[in-house]
Amino acid sequence: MYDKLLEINNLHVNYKTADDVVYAVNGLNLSVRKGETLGLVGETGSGKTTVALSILKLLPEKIGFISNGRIWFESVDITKTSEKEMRRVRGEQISMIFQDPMTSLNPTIRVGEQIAENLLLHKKDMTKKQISDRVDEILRLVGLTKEKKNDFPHQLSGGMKQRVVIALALACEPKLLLADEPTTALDVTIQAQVLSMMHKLKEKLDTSMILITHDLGVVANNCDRVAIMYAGQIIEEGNIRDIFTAKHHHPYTLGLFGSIPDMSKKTRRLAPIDGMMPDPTNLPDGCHFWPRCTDRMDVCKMCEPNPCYKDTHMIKCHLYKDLYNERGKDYIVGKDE
Amino acid sequence: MVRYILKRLIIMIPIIVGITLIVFAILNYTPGDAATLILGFDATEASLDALRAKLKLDDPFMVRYVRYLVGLLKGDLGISWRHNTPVAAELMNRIPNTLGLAAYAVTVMLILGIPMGIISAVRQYSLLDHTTLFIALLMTSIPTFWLALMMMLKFSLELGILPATMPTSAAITWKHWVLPTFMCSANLTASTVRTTRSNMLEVIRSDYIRTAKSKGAGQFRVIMYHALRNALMPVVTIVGINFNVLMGGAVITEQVFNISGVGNLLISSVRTKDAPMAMGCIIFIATVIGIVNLLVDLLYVFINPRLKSMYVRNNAAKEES
Repeated sequence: MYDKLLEINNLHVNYKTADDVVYAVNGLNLSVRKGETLGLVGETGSGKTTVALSILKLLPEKIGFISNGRIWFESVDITKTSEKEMRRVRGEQISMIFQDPMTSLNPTIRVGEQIAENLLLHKKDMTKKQISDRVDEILRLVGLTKEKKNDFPHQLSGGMKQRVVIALALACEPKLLLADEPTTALDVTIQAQVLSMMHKLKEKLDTSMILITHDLGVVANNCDRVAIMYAGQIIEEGNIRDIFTAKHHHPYTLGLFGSIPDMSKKTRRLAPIDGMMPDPTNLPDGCHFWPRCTDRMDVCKMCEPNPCYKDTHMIKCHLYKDLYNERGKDYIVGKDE
Repeated sequence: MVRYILKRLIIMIPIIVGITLIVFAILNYTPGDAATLILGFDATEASLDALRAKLKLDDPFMVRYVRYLVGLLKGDLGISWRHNTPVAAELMNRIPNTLGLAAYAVTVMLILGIPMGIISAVRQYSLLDHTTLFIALLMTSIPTFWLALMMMLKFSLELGILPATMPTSAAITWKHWVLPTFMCSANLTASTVRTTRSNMLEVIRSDYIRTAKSKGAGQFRVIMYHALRNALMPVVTIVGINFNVLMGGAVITEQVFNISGVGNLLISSVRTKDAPMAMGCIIFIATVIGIVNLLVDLLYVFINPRLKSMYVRNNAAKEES
């Protein structure tokens, strides 16, 4: 418990639009330990980015609301923190690498200044010289020359921009890094470079990280633990072995793996999951996955499954009620893990 | 950059020459004889002929036009047919009033319009936002000359606080400028507010603003340092266009408030077929508009560094070819 850096309990996030309420996150529980990389996996629209924005309290103003739940960062409840205090948390304690490097940098400000701003805002005791040295250093860390700091974003390539975005996020050596699909906008060769660089930096700075992605390959190579998200809930969670090698899985997880080409088997077609994500304005009763589930039972349509545990592995599905332990009965996952 | 500015200034020359040709032709081929208008309808045929000979009105059109252009190249705008005084001197008398009015109006528009637009955007859908938008819509919809007449009725006739018309240059105080400035800037301020607001709204929802917030920047910093510069691009366009409108609109404003400016001069000289004077006014207005457009383009580059590299690239490409 004590080595937990971030703990999210029963988080609900809604987006209120003119005619609808979008239920983006529905009772999400998640925790991140110090120094750990957690992979947050799910389809588009499953609420991954919303979770990250909630942690920073950067949900779109007047539209996005945390309607219920707690987000504990160290000993502070972020949902109750004032905007003024949040400003001190953002960038210094928790920072975020955004999805699209093309639009995430201000086109009218030199990249060096954009990185320096982070230090300017949080390290008030640093002199100009120290800040400029630190900018050079952080640029070197992400594999850019220090001359690049005088460039404007449009003078950099996509990969370079993403490095700048990462440099921005790492400038103050945050305790928690939220990486929202950091490599989705990049081509595959650059992806590998950026990921291995992020991995090294993370080791060096001992940062915890939530890696949001829909790429299971990226997860397998970079994460210690994995949480699989569907319709705003974690439906399966475990360490990397639980997800990639354990026998039992949530039907949705199986579907996800079925959507990846497997070179070792001879199949004519992939086996993707039928259907679409449920409409977040109108979620189905019971388990949110039942309309697409191949193993659905009557109980699935009626009541929401409880999380079932076996050691470090959690599956939220009625199928595993007997095989795994439901929380509250004999809860065997130790707090020591 | 210097090359670019020079290039733009050189391009202005054919434009102004073209304008002079068109205006000269219009003045020449429209009905009405300049000599009759100058001397009056009861003038004798002999005196009319004498005046025509003196003004060289009997020469063919192109001969007169080229003669005018040659004079222009030497910096000579000619002598007013009507007043027998040099056009340049008369223009120099009038220009400060016209440019002054335009400058006041643009200043009011900038210091009122941009902040109001920003506040409206930041406090979107607040009472302040609604009020600002309502007034802005009102100001764009009301014909300004009518508004000016109403203001005159209220403030000059009824309350007697502000003078309605401009006296001779010696007696002008700041009070005389209040109503003309208001009339010129009401419309422009309104459009500036609306443009600033809508651009600001777009920019503050963009990804890089979210990045700025994620760094822990406060709202003031986010707006002033990150958003404003990006939101100002279209506002600069509006300011440029509006300045041009002001130059044309000077004709109306100066009439309404009896300001002795270039617009007023232009109207009276066209009425009396005083060709050199009218040409002088048009050349002045065209030059100002050309220079303002150039300044606006330069401001773009200053605001958006991306454009600078575009100019450089263009020049580099041309040098290679």
